[in-house]
Amino acid sequence: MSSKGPVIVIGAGLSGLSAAKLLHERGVEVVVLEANDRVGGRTLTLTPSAEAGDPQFGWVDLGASYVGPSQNHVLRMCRELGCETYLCRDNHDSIYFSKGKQCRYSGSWPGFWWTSPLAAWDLRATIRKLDDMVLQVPADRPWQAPHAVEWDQITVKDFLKKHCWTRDAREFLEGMCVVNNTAQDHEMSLLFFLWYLRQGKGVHRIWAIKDGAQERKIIGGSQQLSIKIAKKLGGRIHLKKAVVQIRHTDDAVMVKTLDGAVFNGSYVIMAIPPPAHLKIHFDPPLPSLRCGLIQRCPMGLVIKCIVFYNREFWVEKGYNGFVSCMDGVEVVGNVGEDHKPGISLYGLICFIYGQHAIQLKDMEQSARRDAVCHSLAKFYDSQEALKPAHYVEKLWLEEPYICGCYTTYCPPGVLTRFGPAIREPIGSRIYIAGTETALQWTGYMNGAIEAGERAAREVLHAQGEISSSDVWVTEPEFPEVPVVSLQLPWLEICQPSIETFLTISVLIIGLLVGLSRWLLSTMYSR
Amino acid sequence: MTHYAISASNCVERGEKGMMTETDVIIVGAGISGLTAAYRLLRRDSSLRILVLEAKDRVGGRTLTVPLKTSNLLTEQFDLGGQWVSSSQPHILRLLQELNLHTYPQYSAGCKVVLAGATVFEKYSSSFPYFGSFYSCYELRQFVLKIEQMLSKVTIVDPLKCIFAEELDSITMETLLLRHLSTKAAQDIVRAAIRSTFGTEASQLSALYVIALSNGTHGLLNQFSASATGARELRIKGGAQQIALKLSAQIGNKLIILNTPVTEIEQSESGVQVTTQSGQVHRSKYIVVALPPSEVLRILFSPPLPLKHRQLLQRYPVGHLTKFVITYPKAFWREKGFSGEVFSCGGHEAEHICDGGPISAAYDATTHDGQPAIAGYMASKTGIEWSSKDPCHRKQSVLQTLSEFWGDWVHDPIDYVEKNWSDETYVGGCPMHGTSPGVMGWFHHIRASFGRIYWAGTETATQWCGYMDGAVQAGERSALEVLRELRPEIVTAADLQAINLILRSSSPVHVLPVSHVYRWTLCLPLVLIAMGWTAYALRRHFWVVGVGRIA
Repeated sequence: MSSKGPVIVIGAGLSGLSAAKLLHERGVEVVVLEANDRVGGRTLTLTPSAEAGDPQFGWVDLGASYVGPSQNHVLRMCRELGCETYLCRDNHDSIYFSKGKQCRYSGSWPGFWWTSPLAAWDLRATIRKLDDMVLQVPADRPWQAPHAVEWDQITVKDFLKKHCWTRDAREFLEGMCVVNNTAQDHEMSLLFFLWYLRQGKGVHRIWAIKDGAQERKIIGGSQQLSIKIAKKLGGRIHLKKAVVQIRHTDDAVMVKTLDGAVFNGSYVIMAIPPPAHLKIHFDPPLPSLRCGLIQRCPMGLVIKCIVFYNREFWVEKGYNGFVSCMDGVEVVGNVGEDHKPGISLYGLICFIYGQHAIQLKDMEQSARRDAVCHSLAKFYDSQEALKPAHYVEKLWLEEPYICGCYTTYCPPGVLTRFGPAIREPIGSRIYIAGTETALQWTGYMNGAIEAGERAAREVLHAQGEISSSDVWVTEPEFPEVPVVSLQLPWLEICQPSIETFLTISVLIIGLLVGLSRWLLSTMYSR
Repeated sequence: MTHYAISASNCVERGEKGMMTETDVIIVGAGISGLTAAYRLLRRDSSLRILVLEAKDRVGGRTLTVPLKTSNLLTEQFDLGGQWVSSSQPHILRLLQELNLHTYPQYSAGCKVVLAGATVFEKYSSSFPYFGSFYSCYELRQFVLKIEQMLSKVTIVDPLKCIFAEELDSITMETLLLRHLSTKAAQDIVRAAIRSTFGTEASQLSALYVIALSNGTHGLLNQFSASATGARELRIKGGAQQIALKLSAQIGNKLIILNTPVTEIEQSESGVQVTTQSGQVHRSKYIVVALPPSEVLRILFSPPLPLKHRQLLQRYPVGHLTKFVITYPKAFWREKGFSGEVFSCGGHEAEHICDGGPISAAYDATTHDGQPAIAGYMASKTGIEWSSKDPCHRKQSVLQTLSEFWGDWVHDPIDYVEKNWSDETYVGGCPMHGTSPGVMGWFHHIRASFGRIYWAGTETATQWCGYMDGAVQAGERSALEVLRELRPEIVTAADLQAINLILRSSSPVHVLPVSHVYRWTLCLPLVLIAMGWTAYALRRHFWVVGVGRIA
């Protein structure tokens, strides 16, 4: 098939740029259209500016930041572009905070000292149940899981209500749901949650620092990847070009932007978040399944802010900085440490989710900073938290073309019904990229790169350059960051769930009672 | 009625971008709601300069009337979109009267049919479906009773006001029905009812949304019934699209520009600037956006809409509906004693893709002058699954399903036509929108004005939201809101009160009195216990007597 005109990539985030890079390296002409005035999409790195008088914090990621083992695409891309990663520290205690009570723990999961050991037991059992269910969900086609329809009919809240016996465990898992997916447990389909965990290699790995999704960061910030690719592509990237119309036929595409510019091309790669597709007028119109899908996967609501201090007061108290808190009282839902080798300003990365984010976004920046510091002071029980040296933030929920962060989620009933349209090409000329369409680590930088490169290969296949078997490529494991199998404590592996325990105890008691009655009766009969 | 053509002096050439017009009010969307707004504005002040922009090549939005072949080689108009009105819908009835359009009752005499499972169907003639076992009917009645009790306390204006609102907004309708219904038959009936009303699965809808919306329709059952207050009581002679056509004739066709999708709405201190896809720029003082919420997302607003509004729009998708109309030489179903009403949550599975028959619901669609027809839906899941089938196969399956109830007559139609509303760009789906759990707290943003932007469209209505009546109510309300800003001198106290009644207070809602039979069924367990006790007592008595005799 002959191709007339360039391949038009819409969106200069990591996914769109990876697609453009791959095509460019294969000698295909590309044009990248970006609605914002910068590249990088949901990655954004800030460096101190001398004019504003910022202190020397080195760099800071206001968007996506972490990489970890098994995220081979992003690790490979880092090496290719000359970026190094460094290990995040994980040698102190984490905090779980709820309604004024602080729980300090060192393993993966909190022990809930303030209630009964039952809560910790319940939490471990539920997580194991979740992990079992996660394994049943295929990463590429979650709608084909054996219980897909059943799991997609209920929300995560319904599941927790049914299987979690204690309020503490339930609250922790609700919090985990928000921290992972920026969506409340009652908003999200259970099947989607399981699928997301599946793509993130299970509950343990997605949550862990060491050997998990939060193991490493990129020296110099993650936006570098996009900037470096953009440099290679040069003038092929057009900023401030919001696409409003795509007209496609069997052999050509026409893309029109808000300012009236028209780009003619041979193929289109859509590398924008699903809700952003809604802003584009397609001609011929989108297939109804695709149209239904993009209407039904909203983005999460989040504000990311980083508070810098001159001293690591939390390390002095023996904490690693990690806090999760979802009691509905404190504005900050999740804290992580921003420790960079060789930088003497220490940051705490705070996330504000959902309703809190909506309430806080209209405040002055200083008021928001004070609210965040106030929460931090409670978490670490330290007045030092109230005196930050510097504060930066990004209101992701305000972004007009990104629509929110980290990623989309699906309410109940969407994945089984509309899910198959997620990465299905539109017509014969439009291919879909974006981290939401990935098979591994969706919502992460790794997913963005995987999906972008896959979409690029789909275009190459359509052009007749490669065979269909070369479209989906398994990424070899990155040798420097091997996947270590998780060493779970024996308690987490062999502790029975509360249901099992109760059933067995009732059986044993019944057996004993029956036995004693039998013995008594034989004695009397004698 | 005079025509209000745009005078040449108002047209200003502006570079290569083309024509630029200056008006008082721009209305985006020429469905019933947008046209009503324009019509009401002009009725109040004929000097207003108004412009209506419509993305499609026709007016009417989700109403569409098409000619179909009928007996004697004639053609007759049939509705492929919204078609029913009801005597409990004052806004649309008033408008119909003004436009000199007449209604006629929906035929509902005779036996109705409910299909559950592959082939099992039950006939009934009461207003409440009878299916399967006594217990599932009893359970379903209790469920409906429960919902009707709840909905008398929730309004769509302020859904979070009642105490159980947050709990209801954190669960789906599916969870609610699983909580209250234990038999599969009753569950399926509720699922199918939700499917054909909302075009969406129960598992995708917030329970609070369904209940709050049912408050605006004066009861849950009202949405399905052809009774005196039900949504399916009356039809419009000559088809529902006439409303839009007559409205546009009254407004003046020159003021309605078709084929002009809006891409950008820019607000400033002095006015609003609207850019269309072809690059035309229109300026006005105020703007009424009368689009389905899912289509509002296509437009770039600057300054951006309030965050809660944007987030709500992301979580408020439209349902899926395919409607079909079949014409026949004779209304044979009436002769056999059927009303033509079919309600289905089953049917034969089609190979591989579809886990049920194609029909969700069907009704008698005979015209006012007696040309026999049947209309029906393939809604939500059913519609999506069947939409990928070959059209011929789909038609055969529809006819096959109907013939199982009514006999082989069904197989000889005169004409068959269907419309998949999801395939129409700038509509995106039918019949109405539905939210997933967790967003009802932001729901009032759907109709809250933003600067110079006012919102119309049936989803912004507070009563009969999702129906033609809601479209008219919203259109009239937005017209009054604009008038309040633009021509405060002609706005009366009654107008202001009308706006307030809709936007601020939750209007008093008369909920259908639950029939006494339902109330009595509540006492059923007590009655059973009493009967049991009586039987026991009597037995004891006889036993005593019997013993006495022996003695």
